Amino acid sequence: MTGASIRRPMARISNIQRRIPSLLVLMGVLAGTMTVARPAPILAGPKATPKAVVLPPKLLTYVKAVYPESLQKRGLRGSVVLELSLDISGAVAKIRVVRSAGPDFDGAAVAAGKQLKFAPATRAGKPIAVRIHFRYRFSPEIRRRARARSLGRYDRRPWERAPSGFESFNGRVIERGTGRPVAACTVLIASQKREAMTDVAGRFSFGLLKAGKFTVQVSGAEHKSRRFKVTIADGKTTSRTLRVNRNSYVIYRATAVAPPEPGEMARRSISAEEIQRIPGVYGDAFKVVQNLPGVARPPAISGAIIVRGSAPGDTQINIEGVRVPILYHFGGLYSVVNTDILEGIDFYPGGYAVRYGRKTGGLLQARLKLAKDDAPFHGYIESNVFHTGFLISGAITKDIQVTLSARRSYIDLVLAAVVPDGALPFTLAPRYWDYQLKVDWRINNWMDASMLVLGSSDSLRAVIDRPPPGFGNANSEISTTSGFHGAIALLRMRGDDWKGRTTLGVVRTSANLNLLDQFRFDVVSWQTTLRQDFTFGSGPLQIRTGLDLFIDPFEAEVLLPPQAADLGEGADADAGSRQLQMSAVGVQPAVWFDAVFKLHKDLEVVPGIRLDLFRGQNTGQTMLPRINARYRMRPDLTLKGATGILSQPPAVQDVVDRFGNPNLLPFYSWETAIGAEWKPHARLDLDVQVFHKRLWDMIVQPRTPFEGFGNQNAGRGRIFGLEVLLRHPPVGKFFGWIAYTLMRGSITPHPGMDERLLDWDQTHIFTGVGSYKLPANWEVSARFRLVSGNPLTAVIGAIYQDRGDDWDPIRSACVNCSRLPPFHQLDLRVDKKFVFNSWMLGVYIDVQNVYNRANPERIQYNYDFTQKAYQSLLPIIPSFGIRGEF
Amino acid sequence: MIRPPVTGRPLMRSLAATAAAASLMLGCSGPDYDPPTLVKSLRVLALRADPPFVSMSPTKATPFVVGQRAGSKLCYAWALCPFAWQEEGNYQCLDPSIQVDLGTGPTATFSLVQLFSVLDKLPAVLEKKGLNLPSDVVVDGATDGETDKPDVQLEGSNLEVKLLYQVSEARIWGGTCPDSATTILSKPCKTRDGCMFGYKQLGVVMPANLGGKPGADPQQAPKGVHSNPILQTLALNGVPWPADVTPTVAPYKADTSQEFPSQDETRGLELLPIWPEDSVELIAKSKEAGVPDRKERLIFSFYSDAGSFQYRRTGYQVPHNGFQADKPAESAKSQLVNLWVVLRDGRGGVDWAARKVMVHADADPQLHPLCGPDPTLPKCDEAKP
Repeated sequence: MTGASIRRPMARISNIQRRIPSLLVLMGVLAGTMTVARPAPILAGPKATPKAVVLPPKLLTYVKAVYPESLQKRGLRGSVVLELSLDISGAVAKIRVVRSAGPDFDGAAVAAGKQLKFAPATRAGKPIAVRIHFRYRFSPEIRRRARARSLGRYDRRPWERAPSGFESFNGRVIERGTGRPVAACTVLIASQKREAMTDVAGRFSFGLLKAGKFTVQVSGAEHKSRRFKVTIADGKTTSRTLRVNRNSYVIYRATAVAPPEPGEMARRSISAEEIQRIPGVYGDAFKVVQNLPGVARPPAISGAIIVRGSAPGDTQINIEGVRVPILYHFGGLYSVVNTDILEGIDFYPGGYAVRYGRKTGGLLQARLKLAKDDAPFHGYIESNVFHTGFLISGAITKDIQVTLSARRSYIDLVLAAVVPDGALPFTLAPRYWDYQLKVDWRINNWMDASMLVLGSSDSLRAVIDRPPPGFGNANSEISTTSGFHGAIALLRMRGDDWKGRTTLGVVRTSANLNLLDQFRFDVVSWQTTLRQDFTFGSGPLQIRTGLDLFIDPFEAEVLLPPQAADLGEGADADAGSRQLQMSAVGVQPAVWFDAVFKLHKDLEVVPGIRLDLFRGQNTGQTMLPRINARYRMRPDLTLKGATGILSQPPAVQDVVDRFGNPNLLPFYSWETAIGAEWKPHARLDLDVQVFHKRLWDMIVQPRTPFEGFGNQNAGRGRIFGLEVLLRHPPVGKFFGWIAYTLMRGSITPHPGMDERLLDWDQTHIFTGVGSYKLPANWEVSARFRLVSGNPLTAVIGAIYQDRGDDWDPIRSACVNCSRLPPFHQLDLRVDKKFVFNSWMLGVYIDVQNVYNRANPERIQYNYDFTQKAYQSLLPIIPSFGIRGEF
Repeated sequence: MIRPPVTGRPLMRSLAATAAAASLMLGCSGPDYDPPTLVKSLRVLALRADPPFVSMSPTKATPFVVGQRAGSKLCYAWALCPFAWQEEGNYQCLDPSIQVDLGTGPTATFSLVQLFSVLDKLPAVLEKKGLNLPSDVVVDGATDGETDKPDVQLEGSNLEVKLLYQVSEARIWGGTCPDSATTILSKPCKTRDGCMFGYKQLGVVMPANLGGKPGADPQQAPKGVHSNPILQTLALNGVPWPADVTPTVAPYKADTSQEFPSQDETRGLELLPIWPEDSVELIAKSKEAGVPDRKERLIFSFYSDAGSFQYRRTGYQVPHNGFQADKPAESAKSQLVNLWVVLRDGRGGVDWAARKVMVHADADPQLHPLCGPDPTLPKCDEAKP
């Protein structure tokens, strides 16, 4: 990316900004057209001199875009932005899709756009050719309106809208509970044979009604019909607010899922609404990924995300491209980010574009919820068995939306209240809290920005009143605190034929652990992420490039246990060496580049390359090619394939001197996948993928104890499998999916050693998720999982070691040749909403492990390994929550 | 077994111990297994090496064997190994050629001389296995036949070898003990009933001409030179307990008035090992002001063949424990219980003591157990149960 190429688009933006007033006028005219497919030109870009008076084109003939019949049953929404090139006569000479909502919506928008007629734009009175952006919004309201109209008995008359000053009866129809205006519903006064339809703000009006008492009936497609008694006085205007109930408040706001971006093998998106209905994940945006194909079942009470056999740390988890340092409260209870500030998550088990790197596993990207222009202030207060929290969101100016959310656990408060003083030999105080402040600012039509300030803290403190001798003094502590505070700034820019995105994230993370003053560990890091992505061009060739910089300095202080020095090999260490201090800085810049070749309208090939540099704690550079292709064979069938190399630097703890090996280098994965997406039914999507990964230079422990403590780049491995996802999107009364993974992963830790299964190898992973809406705002959801047990190595004996008075297990030479029994579990959830005039109360009960299956998580042995028993962690766990929304 | 100075393993082990203690205190628990304090079959509770390191002078190893079947004959096997670890489903020497066979007697005697005899084979073994020499092992390149100095030298002062042993009842071998230690050690105990397989790490003290530092000052002496701790006697409920006295005690009756005892409170009969101050030896003098010298930390293990202990772990830093005798069976009225205490200094030094108590259902719990058989014992009048 050169400086010149950046400046050109910026200069164009500057030109465009000068013309904002005229465009706003145009926008106002066009946006006022109350249609289902509402057009809104958002950009004009003729070249003009500053002194010339430029008047924008005027819309003469508006043509509605037809909602695609193929999507009628799914009822999706979508927004397509077209770029119209208008000639000097105002005719549409050329048309191009700038922002896609899928081929069906795109086709409908282009077909309608071609028929638009404009009066030409002028400069100094002379017509000129211009290009403008024109948006079509698609919404299933078109069907609602059709239905609403059919409800009216007097549709031979035009919908009534009384002139100002002649109104006898007016008002608004709003939805109970949410306060949202109800558009396109009929307001009927049968006795006077009069009816009106509400506008987008829910307003209606009648003129010249006779005085008297009337029954007014309000009917809408998505709302229950309701009658109101109204008294109208002669010569006066009566105003009323009419509140109607929605048919169901457990709604799915179906959103058109955009097809994968070029260069993406498979994007599996889950909306925030789906996330909040899935049992067993507590509405957690990150945990929900554990239910998708390619993701192994983690241990109970763990939020680890194990993708295609890779270790949990091999999957990158980002919020808008910025790495999240701590994912969960207490290692897996709740994610540290409130799901309600997210639009949803995108999960890529592999085959993602070169713009992401430094990890060899999957990619989980959380998308921030974009503020809506017309969103009134809304929010909620919630409480569940773990925490209480709130969210409030709304516009403080026309262009600035603010969302604030915070949560705090109250386990510590409950324990303090219910456990009498002295009843336990310790005082336990687990506590977590988090907060998020999000500001969305629409700077202009070509640029918007978001800022997210977020933080989280977890602390667990147990003051041991009476510790056993040798393990600390009275009032010694077992404590751990971890948390972070940070900010993510996001700037999105759009030009005529380019778009850019700048992301800056700075996060300070701290963690400490104190075990009875025997062992202490304090670490502080400042992670900085800077990303700059650009996309240029359209049509058959699109160029994308960007910079990805990650800086990770950290400082750590460790107090070793006295035993570490006094027992064993530390015997020659100097006295006082219990204290260790470490610091390091990792600097990891990367540049990437790819090109989207649309070789045919249905064939897209995206080759790309990424250069990563690793500096600081370790050095190295990797040049990683990747290529991705998609072929739309039929409207309902797409074939796809991807291959590419990924690299991952060693973790900090692996390269820190004394504890690790500073000479470690990045390790690699060559991943190949082919698959197909098929739509066998309007409400079903099937995604099948076969994948293969080859790994080398894997970081493994030394072969023998005397080779030192540091790990080595010696392992080689391979992982292959099949992933199937059959999904019903959240349409109508149901959503759900069936995910199945067949997988095998193995590693040869050192040359000459036997190949063995990876620790996370789970041959069969089946997950079924479903949620169904019932009448009266009830909803039931279920999740069932059936997964192969994790591999383990049998203990075949034990040897006693005298000096430490301890037993060492003797494990079978066949590593990971046994397995734990299969895991299976059913989780259920029931939601109910109570609707009041201006707020709603939601309650739910979520029961994990309904039939109380004792799923073995590990084997627990006795002191000399002669006795063993399976250890399971989670019995049946009911939990409940309550939420008041306004 | 020679081990290089590795910080990781003791760190992880001690971390695990600390974490285990922490979880214990927070109430975490697992299946109700027999505790390590309960001896139900043959056990080697400790292995005493005199002195507790390997040097040019002979070292004698003696096992503390308890719990064997009455009248059973015991089989012993001993071997010294410079490199041993877990491989191929067994804990064994890296290669049979570098294993020093120490015989099948009830004790083993060995020195550095025997170790030197196998060190010359080490480079070839390592090469065959594709392994590198540890940093503490130096290939000299020349043989000095006059001083028995090997081609391969052990440098530094933080080296250790492993003494492998197996003690088993002869019935395991069909009633006749095998003659070869190698034969026995190649077949680790398949069952713990009547068989015990173990090892002891011993520091290596090199003579001055092979890298050792002479001198009487602990800082100057070759590191690893130290003594076994001395367990002088045991105190029972605060009163010294002569080894030949078998007191009668009452079965333990749990005190439910307080669920958690205080730090120094003992539940049951208090067993308190007594050791001289110099049993805790200096490891290293502090080089920094305000940082204490590093000394040995004693750990204690309590065992019995019936009943239980307040602290169910062994190798614990708690210097006392409460023995809680079970009520004898109705038919027996009384039961003889063996008690054993082992003291370790964390560097291979060890000492032990053994006692017996007679548990009698009708014994007076208010009377100090030692005062019953011998009211003239010191402090008997002061002692309270």
